[in-house]
Amino acid sequence: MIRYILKRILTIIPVVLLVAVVVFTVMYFSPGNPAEIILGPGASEENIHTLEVQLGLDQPYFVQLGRFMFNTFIRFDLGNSYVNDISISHELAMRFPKTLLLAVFAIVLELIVGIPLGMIAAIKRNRWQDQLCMLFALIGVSAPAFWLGIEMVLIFSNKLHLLPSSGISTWTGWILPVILVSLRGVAQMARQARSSMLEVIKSDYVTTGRAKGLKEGEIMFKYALPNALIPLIQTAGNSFASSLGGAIVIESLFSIPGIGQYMIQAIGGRDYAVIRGTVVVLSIAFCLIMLIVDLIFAFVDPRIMAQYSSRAKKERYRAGHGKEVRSNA
Amino acid sequence: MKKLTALVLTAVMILSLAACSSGTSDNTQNGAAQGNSEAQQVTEATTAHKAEVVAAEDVTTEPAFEEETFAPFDGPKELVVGISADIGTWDPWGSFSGGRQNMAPVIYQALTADIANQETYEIVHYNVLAESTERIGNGEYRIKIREGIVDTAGNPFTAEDAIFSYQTCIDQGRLGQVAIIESMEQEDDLTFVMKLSSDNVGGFSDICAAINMVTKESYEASPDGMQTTPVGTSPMVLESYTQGSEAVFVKADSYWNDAANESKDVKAGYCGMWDYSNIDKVTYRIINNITSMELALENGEIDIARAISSEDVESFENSDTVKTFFYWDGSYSIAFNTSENSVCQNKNLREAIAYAIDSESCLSAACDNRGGVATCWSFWTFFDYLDEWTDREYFNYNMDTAKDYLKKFEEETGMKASDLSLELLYQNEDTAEATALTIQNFIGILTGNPNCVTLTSYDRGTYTSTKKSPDTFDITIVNGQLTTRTTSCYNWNDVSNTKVQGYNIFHDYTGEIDKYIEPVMAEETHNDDTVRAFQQFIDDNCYLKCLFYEVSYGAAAGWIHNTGAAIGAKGFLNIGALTYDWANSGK
Repeated sequence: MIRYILKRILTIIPVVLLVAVVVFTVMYFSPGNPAEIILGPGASEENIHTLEVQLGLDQPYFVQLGRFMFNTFIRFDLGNSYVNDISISHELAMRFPKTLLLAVFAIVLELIVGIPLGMIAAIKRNRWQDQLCMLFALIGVSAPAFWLGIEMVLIFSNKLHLLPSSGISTWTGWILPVILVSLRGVAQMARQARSSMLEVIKSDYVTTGRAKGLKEGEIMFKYALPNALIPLIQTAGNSFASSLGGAIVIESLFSIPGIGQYMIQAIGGRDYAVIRGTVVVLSIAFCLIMLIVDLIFAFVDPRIMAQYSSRAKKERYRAGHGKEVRSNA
Repeated sequence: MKKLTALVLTAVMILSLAACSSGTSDNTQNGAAQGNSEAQQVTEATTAHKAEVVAAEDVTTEPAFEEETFAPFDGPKELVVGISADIGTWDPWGSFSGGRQNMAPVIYQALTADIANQETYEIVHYNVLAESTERIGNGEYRIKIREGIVDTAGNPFTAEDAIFSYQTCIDQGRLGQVAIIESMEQEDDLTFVMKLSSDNVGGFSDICAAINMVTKESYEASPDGMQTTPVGTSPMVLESYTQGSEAVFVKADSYWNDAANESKDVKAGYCGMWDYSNIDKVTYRIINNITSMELALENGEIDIARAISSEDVESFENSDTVKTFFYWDGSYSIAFNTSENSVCQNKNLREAIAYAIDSESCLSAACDNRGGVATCWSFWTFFDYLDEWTDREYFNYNMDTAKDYLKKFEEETGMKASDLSLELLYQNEDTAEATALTIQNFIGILTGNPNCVTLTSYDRGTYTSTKKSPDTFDITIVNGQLTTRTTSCYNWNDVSNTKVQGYNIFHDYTGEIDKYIEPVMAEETHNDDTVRAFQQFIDDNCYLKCLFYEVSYGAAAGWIHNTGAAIGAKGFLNIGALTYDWANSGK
């Protein structure tokens, strides 16, 4: 298992390096000059050139790429923003927890609401409970987040004065953003849970359990759900990763100073340094999340765990069982 | 069942969106009528009132735009302002941003300030930290600092600190204005002489007004160049700052010019931008989305919204609890590529296009008539605006005249108008896009070919680079700044000065345009004649037609008054100049 984890970590390295090279190259060849953006429309050619030299933008492609790769992966220095000269690492360290918190709250909500909804829909298949749950899922998947966000702000903030319209300075400010970020995930989780549970419910061991007189709840939670978890874990992992990438619309609507907002500002301001740094950090985060998802698979499903057991362990297991059989015989 | 549900949901969403937009179009129609009447009022006011510079020595006290007597209020006077961008860093000389524009002046002051009143069109020049500035030679200026200035850390501000501020700004290299400072020499404690490498109009005043002043002692005491610990000379100090969320300012223990704030004596250094006598605390809340900003204002979460959507102005104007204020934001012009790469090198074609485009229609399409039609490449509040440019014939829309010019073009070149293919380049933003579509339609009518014009738009960065190349457009939409400018030359220089910019927007490298832009830019030769000559050159050659000026809006709670002075120097939200009926604020 340790070897598997190490192997996976090692495969992350070339992926991240490739992402870094690609994003640098794309930014390098994109039209637009950061020095012109920083200095504004009236800047003289001389000033622009001076700033280009200062920022190292006058160097050839390979020199700039080499410097970027060295600074990022050897010195762990993402550099400073071209626009406001603030350390990118510092900004990401400030913003990442907010986006992480949003993503964590959202995934918790997805799990505690989405899975039960899907289970209910599966258990009460084709009845009104199933229709209602799937209707909710349909709304969650179909409704545009921005529109829904505005509607919720109008109702809960403008009309009812229950929640703030923007900002996260108080805990109440987190409620609407978390609900909105999780809504699509809840819907997807519910649909996936229903689909997985329906497959599992048809299994022989569930029928056997019922025949043996076990309670329905015990059958569902102790036997059916664990077997339906694999696709749900994948869905949760993907949802978490995409939330972490920045719920840009929600962060913009509620003025949450997270990574999504940071990226949007950087893209609009041609802040190449920020774009590159943020993409590299997000790619590392995404790879790590996928690794964690795979590890969770292994813990949830013993069959997957068994695949990664070491050969020596397998030999010991076979030897141990072989002795037992001989002694019994 | 699922399909039915999906259909019902789709219908509900469409209806709710339609409900929003129908309100908007009602607003637009009424807004258009109102905007039209506003534009008319603006034009009338302009013809009746000459835009003039009021120098500090001519103004004794701050003009009182409203006489207000409010009930006394003993509670905390805490204002909450919504702005759309964060400052990021409190470094006194960081790169320009919307957040910096609004928040930096709360802490820092400059040597001078030029503030245009948005209703009276008067620019008032204030000597703030500088007692006087004097031009003593070509590119040479003597600046005398006021006596007794101290920053909020108690350190005195002298000529040495002014020199230090400028030099540090030069060394950082992020603000282009200071690149022309050749040398600075201190004469005594409060006086220094600045030499500029080029003495262009507005160059020195921009240096005085745009560069924040700090004391050397406070700056060097800061561990991070004041990025997180700003210390300025204004009456306010930064109490707390949550990046991306909010900044809270409170009154400093004392202000070096409390006396002027009390007497309102401009000669003594009073400037409304730094008159916080009626505010104890101000919180700037960063709200990125304009809809969220408007909702926060309606909810009472903020007291002032720096910007609101022009589509929602009507609903705010009908509100009992909120009032709007406007400011002249930008001008929109079309410029022609006169190089060999473009068919617009032909003057008759340029004239044809200029007469074929109705500026009023562009204003209506782009801004719901909220603004003013232009009659020159300048603006009423600019120092060098000439009265003769108001109410004149200026490529007034006339399709017959346009077609006459088009016929001349066809005879000269042998080309058929219906075969023309023009590329219209613009920066990707709403007003420019709506203007471009209108222009496309008019040129289609002119040539008889609705597909004559191809629209190409880019984000700001790409547009800035692309327009410099003479083979990327035939016509481009040029955006000029109004609130942050004080002379026509600034906008002219940005796009016409080949020597400085390395290119000009018209791609005329024959040297002709240089003959006019250089004299008008130089302080020595800038006068009505050279200004007139440049505008005349542009008009005679039909290089550019200024179409309209755009108005943008903000809004404030109903208990806030004197909102005509809401926009200060360089587009700063001038909260010090507003008046507050705190007793009716509900705080």
